[in-house]
Amino acid sequence: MYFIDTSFNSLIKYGEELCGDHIEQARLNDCTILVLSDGLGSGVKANILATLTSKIAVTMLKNGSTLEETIDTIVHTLPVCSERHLAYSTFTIIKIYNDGRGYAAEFDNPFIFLIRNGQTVPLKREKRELNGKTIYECSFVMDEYTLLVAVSDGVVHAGVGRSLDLGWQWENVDKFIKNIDISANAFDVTDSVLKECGKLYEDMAGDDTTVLSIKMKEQETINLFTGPPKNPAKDYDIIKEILSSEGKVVVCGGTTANIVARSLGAELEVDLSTMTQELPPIGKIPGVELVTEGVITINKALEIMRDYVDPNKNDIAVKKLRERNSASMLASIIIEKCDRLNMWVGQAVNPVHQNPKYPMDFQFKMNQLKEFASVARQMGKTVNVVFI
Amino acid sequence: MKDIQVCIGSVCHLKGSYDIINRLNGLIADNGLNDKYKVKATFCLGNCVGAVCVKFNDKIYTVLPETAEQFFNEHVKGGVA
Repeated sequence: MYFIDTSFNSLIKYGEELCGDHIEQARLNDCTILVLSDGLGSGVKANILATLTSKIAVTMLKNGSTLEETIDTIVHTLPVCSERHLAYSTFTIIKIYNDGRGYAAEFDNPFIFLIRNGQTVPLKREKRELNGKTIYECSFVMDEYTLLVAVSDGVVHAGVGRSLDLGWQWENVDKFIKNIDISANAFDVTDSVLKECGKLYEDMAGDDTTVLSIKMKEQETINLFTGPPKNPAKDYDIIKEILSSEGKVVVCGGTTANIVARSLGAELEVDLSTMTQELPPIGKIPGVELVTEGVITINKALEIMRDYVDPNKNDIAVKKLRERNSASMLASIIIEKCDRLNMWVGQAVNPVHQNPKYPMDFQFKMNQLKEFASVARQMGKTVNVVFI
Repeated sequence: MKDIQVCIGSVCHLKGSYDIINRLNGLIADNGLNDKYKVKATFCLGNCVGAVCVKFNDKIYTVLPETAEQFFNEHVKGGVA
């Protein structure tokens, strides 16, 4: 299973405050749906058309409507422009399944770019007429070496009337994207294409310019080890079992980290540069993917994960994932790099937990981990909890 | 070069490790002792009841942000001479 890494952003037409392009995204258990829409004209009017189109499309498709029903609804809902007597907005609908299968329905936007290992992947597009609109549909397969980029026409026209007579043009955009390093994540791809557009427009975009990038990240099993085992005599055996399990190991908890380091005969180093007022720094043990403090870090990571599954807060969470602190790193591993989560939950009780003044006692920890597992399940991960 | 190890486990963090690390770093610099002492963070020192734990010269002390300077003067600076 893959994690579908998406990133999108726009340059707004020079002199306008609102963008006339709009992207909506819905993450479902087995797939992600994205709709890029470019509204007729610019400014408020275009913004409303594009927002309506993409919102209707994403809402209907995620609830199981067919393409026909969706387009029919859009056609009958869009307000008609009083000047042009048209209700018009382009769209590109993209659906990517977690196993890499993809589908696109394109209407009047520049065709999508699909690149695998620096080569353009030829797409067999099927033409369909729906409500008088010509729509092109295609299917494809993505893997970790595939990059999908969808753009509004502001990208292929970048530079018109300024540095380039005919604008950037599809073929040249394709060439540019093919040269982007295959290891770049979706954010970097969107960023570099938009920067190039800005350059060609000499920082005064002649049209709303939008870029959407999609990459697939391979996921794997993560073994989250938190809390010392109940019976200290078994520490060594349990750690041996965890470390030899399939997948990567993440250790959350100061004492837990010490035990792991000791069993491995390794030095536990702390990377102070990751410390913040709110969060303790991460540690480093060779062979362990991430080492953090326990209850505070997990609590903060859980906050990010909760926001991530909330469509209204998803964008806040995505930004937090890129921060350099223990909770962001933990949340990023769970969200982006993990399809199967084994939680090894130690049952030893720290004596300080008996102190009623200490707010994060054993029960708090257990409830927190229960919710951690349930949010991870909500993201479609397979979660297995082992009490040790 | 000697290490002053400040615990950053859960309890110690809640009780102010972050401030203590910053204060100790400030005190070392103010006293021109950068070549003698280095503040390092460490995971749980095993004495959560006595948080915040600071390990120096193989001894574990209980230090709070407001007693950091006192700890420094008595045990670190005092120990130089």
